[in-house]
Parts: sequence; structure tokens; C-alpha cells
Amino acid sequence: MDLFGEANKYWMSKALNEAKKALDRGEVPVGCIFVCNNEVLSTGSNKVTETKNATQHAEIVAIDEIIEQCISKGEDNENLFNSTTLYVTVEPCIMCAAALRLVGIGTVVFGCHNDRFGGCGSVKNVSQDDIPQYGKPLNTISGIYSEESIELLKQFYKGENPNAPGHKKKIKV
Amino acid sequence: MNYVLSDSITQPITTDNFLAVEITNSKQTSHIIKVLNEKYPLPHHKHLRRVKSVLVEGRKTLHVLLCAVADAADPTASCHHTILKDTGIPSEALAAESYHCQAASRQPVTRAQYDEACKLWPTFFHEDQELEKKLGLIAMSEFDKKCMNLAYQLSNHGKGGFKCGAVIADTDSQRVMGVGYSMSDAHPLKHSVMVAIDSVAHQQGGGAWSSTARITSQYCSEISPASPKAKKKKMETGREEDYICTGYTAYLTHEPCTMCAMSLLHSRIKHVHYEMATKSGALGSQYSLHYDPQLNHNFTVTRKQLDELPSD
Repeated sequence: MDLFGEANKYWMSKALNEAKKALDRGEVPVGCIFVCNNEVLSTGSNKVTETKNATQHAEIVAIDEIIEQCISKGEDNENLFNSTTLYVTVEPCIMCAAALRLVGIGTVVFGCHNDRFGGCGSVKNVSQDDIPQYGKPLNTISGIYSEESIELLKQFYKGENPNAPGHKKKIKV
Repeated sequence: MNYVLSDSITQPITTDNFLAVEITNSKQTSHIIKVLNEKYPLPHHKHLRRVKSVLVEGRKTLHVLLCAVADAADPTASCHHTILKDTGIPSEALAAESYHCQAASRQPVTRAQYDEACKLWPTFFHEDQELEKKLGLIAMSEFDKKCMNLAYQLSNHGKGGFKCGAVIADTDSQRVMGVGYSMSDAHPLKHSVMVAIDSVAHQQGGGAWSSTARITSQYCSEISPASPKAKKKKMETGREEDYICTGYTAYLTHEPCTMCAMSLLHSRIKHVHYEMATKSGALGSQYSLHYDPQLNHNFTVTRKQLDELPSD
């Protein structure tokens, strides 16, 4: 795959748009888009504050939507995920990397690295490690629109997260 | 049950090699320590005492560490003479022959490690009484047992893969805040822990999955309604509004997988208890996310000892 190919840049710019929507809603600005054969399956952005559920990262939100679609159509989701590429603005965290392996995603393209929670090499290597019941490792490509992705996070963390009592103000991005 | 602690706490001490020599003129001991600390400090082994006392046939003899073998320019007896020359220690103050010995490579964290280390060479040690309490077998409270029983009861409803059950509770007010069981037949991410975390979210007026809302109303309100006593306690202690799983304990039938363990970490859980370890578990087996120094939240974990009777 051409790392900085037009297709990757195009879909990543769509993921960035999703991240901006999260910023407008006061959520951590991470956005993603699931694409299969040049067709958008779902988009997602962080919904932790809205749902009061810390697991509702962009990837989980978008996976949920795809599964709901499959259930309503009576289709199998396993083959679909296998031939799908995820574009996400920030490296999937340890939880999301694990979730992506559980659903059997084909390829993950991400923008910037995540030094706090990254599960694709930054903190843990959930994407590549040999883990029982977790299926095959993830194909990952990183660095597309990395600076734009970081910039959005910086904008968010400049303000304080009003939903976290006693939350440390100083957050490394 | 037992705490799941890091290897640095539970493993035997590791050792390094040193060059040591007997002090034959004990009156010179403080002078010898002083000059050795100046000219031959032990920068990587500050936890070691420089001198140890050994009883030989009822007579006390003193021995001093000259240097770590790894740090010595020439780790043979000739090094002993070089040290004498460099420090100006009179040769008659020390025995003619130095010898190799082993000492703990890091400061002991537990009393057991300290005792083990001191058999080799004395070390400094600060006992952590809270940690010592976590080393033995820990008893479950009545509320712990009640929550664990509920988790087993829930696990019977599980569908797909492991039949796991999860209960998330506030042990201070003794209330069940969220419940879950495996629903991974229909949704690969609906592991019992993910469901229980969403159940807590529903209790707090949020939530992402409608299926969770149903089991939350079915189990949480019925089993543990916020008792007047709990409400009173909350007013007295002036605790802040509940925020995700902050301060809560999770009771799980199985060790959570990486996704579930990380979701508990994101939810700022205080403590996790599980009964059965799993190969892909991330709280002691595949990974140990709960005490990972790179992560911004740590929590304590206990698991059932294999020889314990089932909690009933």
C-alpha cells in the first residue's frame, strides 16, 4: 500500500473531520472511519463524556454501528471486518487495539502515536503480540496527517476536562 | 484470595558479584569505610551496607566490600592492592587475601527478600507495612462474597465463548453499581466486563448499549438499592458525585482479557478481584496492566488461590 497515497490521505482527512466534531462536542478529539472496498461502513468519534462510559472511544463507537448494521441485515460481520481498513487519527489504545483484533480488522491506518495508552507499539504491542483467542496480528500503517491529529488533541487539552474531578491539568500529548 | 503483585515483589532477589576482604584491625573500620566511600563508592548498590559482621567460632569478624566486580578495572586479587594504594589504607588493617562474594543487586522490597538478602550481605531496608499485608492469604468480606456469588449467577446467562460474569460495586456504600455477562454471541466486544462498565454508565444516566440497560434495571436496583444508610454515609463523607468507576471494585469470574482490563483501567477502577486465571488475561497472565508504570492509572488485583474453597 502506498503510505502517503491519495486514497489513504483522502480517508484520513475524513477521519480528521470526525475528530473535529468530537472537539466541538467537548469530547477528546479522536475520529475514525471504517472503509471496505472504497465504501464507508461507519464513522465514529469519541463519546466518553456523552455516554459516561470510558470505553466509548471512536473505534468502539464505529464498530458498534457496523455490528448493528450486520445484525439488522442478518449478515456475518467477521468476513466484512476482515476486508475492512480502519482510518483513525490517533494510534488505537490498548483496549481498542484488542477490540480490533477481536473483530478481525484487516488493516489499521493511524495518524499520530499515543504515548499514554497506545496499543500498537507505543505502550504495549497488542497489535503484534501472540495473544490466545485474539486472532491474527494487525497490519498497521502510521504517520498520515500525524501533525494535524496532534494539533486537535493539543487544542482539547489546552482547556480542562470538566468531567474529570481532580484530573491532572498537565497532560502530555 | 491473593494479591497479584509485580515480579519485583514476589520473585527472589537477584545478586551481583563483589570483591570483599576481612578487616584485621577493627579500630580502623570507620576510617576504612570513609575512604572507600570516597574513592570507591558503590553507585549502583547504595542499598548495601559497606561492612558486615560475621561470627567465627564465637569471635566477631568484620568484612568490607571493596568494589563490585563489574565495576573493577581488574577483578582479581591485584585489584585489592590497587585499592590499598589508591586509598592509603595501611595493608596491615586488612587481610592479605580478598575474596569474591555475592550481594543483593537491588534494595529488597519485602521482609522475605530482606531476610534472603541479609544471608549474603546486609542491606538497608524500609518495611512497607501496607505491602506486607498484601503478601499472604487475604479473607473476603461478606459483601465481597455476595458480589462474587452474583457474578457467578450472572455468568450462567452468558452466551458465546467464555461464560463470564461481572459485578461492579461500591464497597464503601455496599451497593452494586453495574452487572454484566458475556453477550459475545451477537457482538464480539460484549464481554461481561464491557457490559458491566456500560451498566455502571446506565446507572449514572449514560450508557451506550440498550441490552445493558435491561440487565441493569433487572439486577442493580433490585439487589442493592441505595440504602438510606449508604446515602447518609455519602452525605457525611462528602464524596463527590460518582464518576465512571472511580473508587469501585470489580468482581469477575474470570481474569479479564486485554480489552476488558484496559477498559477497567480507563474507567479508573480501584480494585479487581477475579477467580479464574485465563491464558489471554491481562491482569497477571498475558500482561499485568494494573501495575504498569507507563500507564496513568494503577489499581490492585486479587485472585482466588487454587486451593481455596469456592466462595459460597
